[in-house]
Amino acid sequence: MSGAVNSPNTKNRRLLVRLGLLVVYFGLMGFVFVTGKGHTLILDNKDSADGSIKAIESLSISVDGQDPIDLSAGDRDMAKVKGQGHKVEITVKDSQMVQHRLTLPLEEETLLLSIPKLLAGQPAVIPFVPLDVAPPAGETNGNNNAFTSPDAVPDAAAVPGAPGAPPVPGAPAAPGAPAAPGAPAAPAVP
Amino acid sequence: MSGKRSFGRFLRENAVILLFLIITVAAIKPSGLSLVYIGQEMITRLGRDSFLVLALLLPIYAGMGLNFGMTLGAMAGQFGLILAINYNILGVNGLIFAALVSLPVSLLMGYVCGAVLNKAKGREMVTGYILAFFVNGIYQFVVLYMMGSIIPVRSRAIVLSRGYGIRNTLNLDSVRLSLDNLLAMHAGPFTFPIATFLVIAALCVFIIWFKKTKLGQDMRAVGYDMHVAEASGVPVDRTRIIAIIISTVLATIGQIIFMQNMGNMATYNAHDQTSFFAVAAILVGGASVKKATIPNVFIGVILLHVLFVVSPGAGQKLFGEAMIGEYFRQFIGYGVIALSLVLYAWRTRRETERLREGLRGGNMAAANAAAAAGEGEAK
Repeated sequence: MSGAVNSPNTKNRRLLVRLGLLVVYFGLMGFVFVTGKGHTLILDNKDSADGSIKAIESLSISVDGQDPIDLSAGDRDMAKVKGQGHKVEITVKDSQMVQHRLTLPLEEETLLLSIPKLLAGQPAVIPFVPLDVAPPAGETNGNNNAFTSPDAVPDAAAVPGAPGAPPVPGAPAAPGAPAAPGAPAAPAVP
Repeated sequence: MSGKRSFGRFLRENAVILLFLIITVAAIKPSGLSLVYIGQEMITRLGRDSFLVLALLLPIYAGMGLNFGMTLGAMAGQFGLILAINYNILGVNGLIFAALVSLPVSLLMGYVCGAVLNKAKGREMVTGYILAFFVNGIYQFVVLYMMGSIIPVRSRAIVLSRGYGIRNTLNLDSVRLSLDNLLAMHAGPFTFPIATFLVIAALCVFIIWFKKTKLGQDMRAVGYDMHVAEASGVPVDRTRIIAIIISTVLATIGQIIFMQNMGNMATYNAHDQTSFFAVAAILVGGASVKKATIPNVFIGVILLHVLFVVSPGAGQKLFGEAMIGEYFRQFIGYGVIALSLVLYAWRTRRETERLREGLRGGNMAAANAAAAAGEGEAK
């Protein structure tokens, strides 16, 4: 009985099953990654940079059957999409609807779709690099360890006397800094 | 006389659930909330919490008590969710991705937890609780210092402005309610998250099936008496480790389901009270350290959450302070755990004394009854 359980055939089969499960595991992970990857598509209706392709005066665009978005010349809007392949339906004013299929690069989060270029049959999808975004209000620069250790040394700004800290009552004020109440005035600089 | 005795026994055995029922029913009226509102909240919270509470069943079957170590699984689930948000994987795909990524972590955590608990037989609950504190430190180190510095983080929206470490609160908009809304059904004033309920039902079926398997029977044998199981050839340590691994993996998935329902995640302390509320719920549902069933889970989730929903309103009406209701939640949670552990200890001691009396040649019938009661408890 135990001989059959530990025979080379059984061991090989077990190894194969385990390898198969591993392949299925990673395959499934890859599948959900690719099909679930979200992208932000900036729908752009502006003249091309060199001015060779002009913006369309008025159009309506729908991505993957989402609610249509109306754009005038010079407008931009945004659509959130999931996965790599997408269907874009564009209706230019007073003309028939045109359908296009797009394949988005996996690694890019935000892409710009130039509608005039798409209608002109040119490569229309380019990565979109957003400007630096300021940190949300109330968030520190991350040097404050108060969360993990409440007794930790606070930010320099919070340490009295440190550069950039608020003036301490009774302490001499730095040249050019506003004097604290009760502090001797700094000598005037000619 | 016998009727009186059996009524007394019923009261003793269901003291926690009865006490809770009385407090909850009494708090509904002063809360001023409509029954429709409470009903909808219960439907939502059943979907949110049941999976986590069901994760506690297998360790109880294996005689390891209430698995406070499930927090380890919750942390693994949160790690997976952070990665899903980082890679911007939307909807149910994001949840599956989070579960798949966290699976190896939770398997490892479960194994470590099981191995540690095997070294502390008889003191599993407190060991699991302390182990969760220890692993919490490792989790904080990974998320606060390693993510963004050693583990690459692409999304600037989740990383602290210093360049590494994850923000205190994460917005889970990309996966929010994705499972609940997958098959949402509207019936009158209520909305039912059918997909979530199906997942929970599948877990119930798995647990029922699992109990009938060889491993499930081994688990029950270990839970009934470790020494007898060992003598019968059951690999006790291995069986206990498997019970904890399964519980940890289920807790991982449970935490992901919980978080998708909440829609945001307190990165550093969302997992803190996972085990605490799951344990409180199953105890409120009438379970004990040695005995728990699937109905206990659902009764417990409903009762605990009805009280959670009505207590702020009741506190406001009765004491003019909504915060009293908030404190009441904590008080009730810890109180229920304490009461049920005290009752369990008291009952076990009484039964042992009865048994001892019987063995000394006293009332043999009492000893038999006590033995029978002990058997019933273990089932």
